[in-house]
Amino acid sequence: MTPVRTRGISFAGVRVTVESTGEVGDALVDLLFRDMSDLEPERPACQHFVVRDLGAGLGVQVSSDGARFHEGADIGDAALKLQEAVTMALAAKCTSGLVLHAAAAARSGRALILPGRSGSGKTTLSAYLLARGFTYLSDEMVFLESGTLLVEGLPRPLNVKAHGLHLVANPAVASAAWASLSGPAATLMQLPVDMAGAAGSAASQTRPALAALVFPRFQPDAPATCIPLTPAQAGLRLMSALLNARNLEGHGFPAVTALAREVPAYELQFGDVREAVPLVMALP
Amino acid sequence: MTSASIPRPVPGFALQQMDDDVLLYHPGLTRTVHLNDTAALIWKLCDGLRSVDDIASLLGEAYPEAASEMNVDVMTALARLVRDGVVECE
Repeated sequence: MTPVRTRGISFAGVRVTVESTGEVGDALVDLLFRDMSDLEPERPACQHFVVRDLGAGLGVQVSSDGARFHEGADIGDAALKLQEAVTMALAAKCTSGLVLHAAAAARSGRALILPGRSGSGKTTLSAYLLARGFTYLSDEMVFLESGTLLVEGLPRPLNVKAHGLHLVANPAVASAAWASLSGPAATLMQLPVDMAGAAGSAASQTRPALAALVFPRFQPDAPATCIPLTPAQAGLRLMSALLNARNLEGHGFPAVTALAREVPAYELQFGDVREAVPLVMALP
Repeated sequence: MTSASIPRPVPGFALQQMDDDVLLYHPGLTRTVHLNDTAALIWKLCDGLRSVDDIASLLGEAYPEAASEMNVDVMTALARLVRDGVVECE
């Protein structure tokens, strides 16, 4: 009988479980969730995912609560779909604070949150900040518990789109120690264990305090600029990055505006991430 | 919209004052709107009783140096508020 492994994933006070079977299924789950903690193993899972190895080069089947969303040999596609489904499940169930569509990185116990839509440059900027000594928190989703400025990131593998791959998958940023898996829409790049260890601890007990909000805005050929935003400008942008609004009092509007008043915010426009990084490093 | 039109705020928006600016959020529409200080002032004067002319006159008294342009400025600002869905006008 094929052994079954079950991994719990906790984030933002929400827990899901992922069950895997077979060598391919286990490897896929390890790649996606190695750095995610199960801080509350006693908490019931809000959703259960299953990755079943179909064997003999047939790939995997990925399903959840009876709904099948991948079956076949394209492991990269399976990984991307599972990653997205787990991410959305965690965001959708969170009621204890703000879940933002944002990357985050930390240095000396101080975190930067980089909210933005897909294509805004979150992942590329995160990778370059890691190369400059920042600790990885997430390239996709962060959580701020109500009433605190402590940042919890979802430390998933970097999800690098095709247009940014040449920038991230080069020796100046990602060494040969990084694992990667390509799918049709993106390449997943897993940090080496020595770099990812910090992400795990940040997700558990030692969450860094939020120092600034930096809204990246990739604009081809634009010179790099970093412009302070007013609280109203920051609040407007934060509302569009809020993923769990419907779970929160007033749709999170009071909490978002309070955050925008409290924390300095900047818009970082850039056409070349290498020009943008020094501007981020120079922030107070 | 004419100078006799009576603009009124679309109901259901929550307001947060952010320094001089205002953020409005409508939970039903899931829409957030940012008003700068001038737009916020005009929005606050839209009470469903004052006409466009009334609003321009009030602001002309408060800012006499800009009074000659006030009708056009108020009309332009209100058109934008209507477009943003935070004010409606008969």
